[in-house]
Amino acid sequence: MNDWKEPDFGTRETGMKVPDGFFADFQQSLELKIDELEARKVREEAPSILSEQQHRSHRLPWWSVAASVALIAGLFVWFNPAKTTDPNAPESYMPVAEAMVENSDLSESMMLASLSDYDIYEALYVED
Amino acid sequence: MSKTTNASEEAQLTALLTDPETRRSAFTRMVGIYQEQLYWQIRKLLISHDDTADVLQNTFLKAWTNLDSFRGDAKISTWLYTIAHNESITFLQKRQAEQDMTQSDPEGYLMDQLQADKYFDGDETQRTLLMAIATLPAKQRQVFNMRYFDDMPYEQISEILNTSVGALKASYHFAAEKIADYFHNREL
Repeated sequence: MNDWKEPDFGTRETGMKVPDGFFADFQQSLELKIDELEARKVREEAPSILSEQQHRSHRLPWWSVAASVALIAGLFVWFNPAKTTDPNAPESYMPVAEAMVENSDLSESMMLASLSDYDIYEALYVED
Repeated sequence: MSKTTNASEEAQLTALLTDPETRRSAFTRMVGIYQEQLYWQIRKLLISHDDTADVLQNTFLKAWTNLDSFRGDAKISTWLYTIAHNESITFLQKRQAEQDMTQSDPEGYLMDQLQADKYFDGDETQRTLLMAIATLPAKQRQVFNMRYFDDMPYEQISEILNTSVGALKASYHFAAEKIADYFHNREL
């Protein structure tokens, strides 16, 4: 094989050509791609900080929890019939609760609900 | 643009590439030096300019993301040529799978590319030579291109393709015989 003559096919050129300006454009485009890659790498390394911030923001402040409990408790008291049927109850008792105690029938409840609080009280408790 | 670097320029560029502070600017410089050489290496294998542009970009992006693994043990050109070769072969295999080509006609795609390539203005001899080369298996084609067109030393080809010098000489010899037969058959 050492005596073998190197081949010669009449040309050492391929005849292929490259578009004008290709290499300048190519290098510019490559730089942009590398910028994108690096920016993506920075974003991927950042999430541990962001998730901590997001986690913190999902925690409710103590005062909102306390307010929610108070609201629920208040609603419970408001709807509790035993308390509101007390004859010694003040004028501002709840007509809905009264209707629930005195009448299970819906139409009567609705009729009662349309009356003013004092009218109901007077009708039920005030002796003529 | 300088096509090659001498030993001290190579050492300086290698040092800059391995330093995190200077690697970005050094990489830009490296692209400027080697992009044309790599382009033609890939183009002779893939024929199509558009395919070559894609693979060339993949080559440099792979070089960038693997810069940490480059220690300067090999020459920069050898390192880049190796990446370019692997990316080209991967591209051809992928294209072959997409085109659903049979084993008996793997070079048909390249022949079609050559016929359709608008960036070819060579003469008939050059066209015939390229078509003959397209009939060779990918690795043999690469050996022939590097030796015949680039006059690359066997030792450098050996490093790039991870093949012994003896095997490369044999491969080149058989490639040249096949091409000669191709020319001969066309004349008949």
